[in-house]
Amino acid sequence: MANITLKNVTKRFDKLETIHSVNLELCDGEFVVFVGPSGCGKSTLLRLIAGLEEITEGVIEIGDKNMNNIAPANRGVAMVFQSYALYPHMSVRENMSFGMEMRGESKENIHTRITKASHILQLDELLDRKPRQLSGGQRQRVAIGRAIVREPDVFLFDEPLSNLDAELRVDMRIQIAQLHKKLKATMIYVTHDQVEAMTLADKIVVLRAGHIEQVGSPMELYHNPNNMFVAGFIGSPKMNFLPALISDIEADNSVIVAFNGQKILFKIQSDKLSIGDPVTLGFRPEHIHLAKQEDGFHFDITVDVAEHLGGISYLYSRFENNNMTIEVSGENVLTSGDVLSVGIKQSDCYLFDQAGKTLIERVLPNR
Amino acid sequence: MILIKKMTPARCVAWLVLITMLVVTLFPLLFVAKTSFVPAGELYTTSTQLLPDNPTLSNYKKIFGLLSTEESIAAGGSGANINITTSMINSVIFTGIIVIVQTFNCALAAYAFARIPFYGSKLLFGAFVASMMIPSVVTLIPNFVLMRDLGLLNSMLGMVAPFFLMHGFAVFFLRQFFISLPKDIEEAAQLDGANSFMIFFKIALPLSWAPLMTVATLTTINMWNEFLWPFLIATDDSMKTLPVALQSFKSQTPQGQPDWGGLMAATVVATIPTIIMLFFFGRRIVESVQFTGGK
Repeated sequence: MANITLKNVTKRFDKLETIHSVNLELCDGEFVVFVGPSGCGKSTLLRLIAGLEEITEGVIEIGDKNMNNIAPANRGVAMVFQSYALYPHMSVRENMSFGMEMRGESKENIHTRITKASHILQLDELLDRKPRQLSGGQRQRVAIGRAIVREPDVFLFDEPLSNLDAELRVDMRIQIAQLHKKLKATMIYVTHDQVEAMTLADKIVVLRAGHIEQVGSPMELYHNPNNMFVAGFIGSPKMNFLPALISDIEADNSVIVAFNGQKILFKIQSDKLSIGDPVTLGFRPEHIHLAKQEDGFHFDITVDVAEHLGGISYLYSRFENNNMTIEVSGENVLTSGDVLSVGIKQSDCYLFDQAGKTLIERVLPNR
Repeated sequence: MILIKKMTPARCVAWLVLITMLVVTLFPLLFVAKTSFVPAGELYTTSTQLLPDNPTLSNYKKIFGLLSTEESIAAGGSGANINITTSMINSVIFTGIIVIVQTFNCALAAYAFARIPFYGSKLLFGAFVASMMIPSVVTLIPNFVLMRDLGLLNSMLGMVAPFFLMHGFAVFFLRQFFISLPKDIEEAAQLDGANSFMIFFKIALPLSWAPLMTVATLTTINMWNEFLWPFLIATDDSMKTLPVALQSFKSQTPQGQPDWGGLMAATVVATIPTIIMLFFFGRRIVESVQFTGGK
């Protein structure tokens, strides 16, 4: 069992606190992605779990065992670094066998495990090469192979694909997903790329400034973000936000939201709003229609910049000094200066209070 | 063609200055080499020539003990003796011990300063760097008294003792390199189960081959030429290193002229290892020292 529990984990570097009393439960066999902007503490949290940094306060448990004073090598974790961290003076085979030799494994066992891992990752032809003789993708596979041969309970990936080109990233992403299916081990993956997070994760942990903002499945985070930060971070391009007002409050927690002279009824989860309170209306670029919607808001915009990617196009514009991104089908050949009338369905809207907390709960799509 | 195109007036001046410096530097060496092949009788008559009229190996035979004292005097020598083979062996042992032990110790200290945080490390490292500013003559007498009290005078241990434990520059130089090693690699080794010593021996040392060779080369050159300390400690002929033996050979005829031919031949022999080292590692030494910004 390799479930991981973090209880009030705090990390301070001298007087600077970078992780603030984090509590987290990760289940055995889950693929968990830590995501967040640069400096949010995701890599630090990973290094705390690996034991490469000492925690200042709190408890880290792996498999229900307190790991606070356990050396990194004895925690049952293997880590794949962003820089690959291969030993430059050793061959691929030596890189993979080093850890097992350190633990005094038998030569037969070392050979068997290396053969198995190199077969899984198609490294058989590369075993006698030095890291400098390998391409970026091959080095990454060796780094993963080095982790596999340890047969750890938990795999830790620290932005492992960020040094690869776009095509190779997609390939390696699929390989990592397949590896997780095959090994069924607990995997924690750190990235700032929310596409990687959405595609790989069973569970996403969104971090900001050393705090956990939300934990949930990719679909939960996409459809029901807790706050504006998560709503803006999950989804690409990011969600659009426009200011609106509460114009009326009705019974059973329903409010009338006024925006651009239009009024729409929303059922909300708060009873603390008053008439006249400012709120933020959120809607995703892919949910904007180039036509007025019967049950939603509509307004006119002028296209500032148009990016045509083939299948889709992104239109960048402004509405009342707020940046807006619109995703449209590539068939719409629009260009800067075009004036558009756009509409958003009420069911595609998100609503946030003044503190940025979400006000509505949306229904997740079913299979 | 490319060279001619790039020859600006400023570049011409630079080349001229460099060539002048090269001539000024190499001329004494050429003169030493020439004199070592000149017969004693022609020493003054050919002093203005770049090459000897009648080159001879008698000076080399003399210093390697292939001529008797009578034959040596007949060949124009002063009768002074030098046991160059023994001195050469002493120099090799003296230099070898210091190079191996000092480089290893300095690498250990440098790695600790670079990677293992401990209380007072900055202060201690500052002391190491500051030690480079202390002239060796200042520590000469205290060291001598210590060696005398330990009964290590006229012994190899006494000769190597002040040098073989540590050297400020080597520690500083290697620390700079260890700092530049990617930390990820060492952390990967840590996760693989290696302790600090294993990481040092299995990862850091093999990756530091080039700077270690540079330190070893610089130490070899310095120790091969070290004169004052072995001169104080090694009083017995059998313990003398080459620089001490050369001085001793020169001063064996205090009333008359030294045996210049023999002295120059011995000097050429003593210089050969240094020249070989510079030939193979010269560029690396210059580049590495530039890398540290030390000199």
